[in-house]
Amino acid sequence: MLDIDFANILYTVINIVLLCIIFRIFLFKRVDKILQARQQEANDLNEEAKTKAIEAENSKLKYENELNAFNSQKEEMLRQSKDDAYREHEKIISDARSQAVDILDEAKVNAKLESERQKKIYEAELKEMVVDAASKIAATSHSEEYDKLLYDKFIEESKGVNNGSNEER
Amino acid sequence: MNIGEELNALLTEDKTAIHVNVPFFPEGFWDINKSIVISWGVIVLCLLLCLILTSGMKLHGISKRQAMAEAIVVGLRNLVSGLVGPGGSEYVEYLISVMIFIAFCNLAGVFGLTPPTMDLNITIALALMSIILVEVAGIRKRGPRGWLKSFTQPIWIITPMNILEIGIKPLSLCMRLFGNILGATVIMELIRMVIPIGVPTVVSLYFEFFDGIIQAYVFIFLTSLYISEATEEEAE
Repeated sequence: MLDIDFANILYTVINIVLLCIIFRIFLFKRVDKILQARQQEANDLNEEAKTKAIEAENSKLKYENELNAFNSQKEEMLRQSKDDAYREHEKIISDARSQAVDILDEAKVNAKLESERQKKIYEAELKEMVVDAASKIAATSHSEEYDKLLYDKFIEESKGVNNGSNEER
Repeated sequence: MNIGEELNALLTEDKTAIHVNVPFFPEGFWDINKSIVISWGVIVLCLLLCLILTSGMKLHGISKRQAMAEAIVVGLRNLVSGLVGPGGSEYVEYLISVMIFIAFCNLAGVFGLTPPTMDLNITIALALMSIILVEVAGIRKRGPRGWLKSFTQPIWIITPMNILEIGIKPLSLCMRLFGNILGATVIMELIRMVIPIGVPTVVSLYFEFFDGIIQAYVFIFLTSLYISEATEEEAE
């Protein structure tokens, strides 16, 4: 046990070298192969994730740009619509005003024509009445009282005619 | 048989396991000791464990065996890499192999065998390989001239001490391991003689499991430290 001999030292050296080779081939290489494959897979996944993140960022930017363009288009359309609506409103109001003026003018003209027509009717009736009265006077004897009575009657009839004309108007 | 005779028998027993006669060499020169045969057993056991642990390895859905193999490799590699430093990363696998070898050899006592590390030849071989590795690491890092110059560092006056260290380092490694395992075995034998039932089982937990593994770690720790020193100086 305490003797030292060269052969056994050499055997031990050979044994340890052999053990190192065994561990190298049957443990470290095999485990390293799996670990490297796993690392490679993790790296690939990482790369893929990075690529997807970049793609997602690009898509986001594109979407934001599209959204901004859409918003500006929407604002433009809204402004255009408001302008159109305002112009339409102004046009309608303007048309309504001109129509109202036309109606008013027409009404004035019609009223004037009607007034003239009534005036003519009144004058015709008055003429008939005067003629009638004159013929009655001419056909009857005259006394002061009878003339006065005729005058009063004429005035009364004239009032009635006048009132009737006014009511018709 | 008293304790003294028992210990004497343990230390002086015939350690030859296989007689090998080679012409032109003295008889018994190439004889193979029992410790070598046991270390063959350790190597075969390591090979079987490697084959069992690493058979049918998969990338996904790994088995418990594979998980254990990966944990052992990654764990030991991290442990030894931390000790040996960045300059000695290429020696990590050798150091792990030696650590496992020493640990299994030390645990041989659990199965009633004499630990191979109780044979001075085994520890001498381990220490020689360690010091050769340390010096080779130093020469590879600094070149032959730098390596020779390193003996005069930090001041020329300690050059003899530095030269002596080449012998002292492996001697301390060798004797520490041999002495610890021999001591543990002797103590266990004494305990078995005094109280043969119960107590040896409990005490062996310390002397054979804990101390055996600790000694394997200490051997690798010191070798790593020497490699680290030999390779760090170049970085400076």
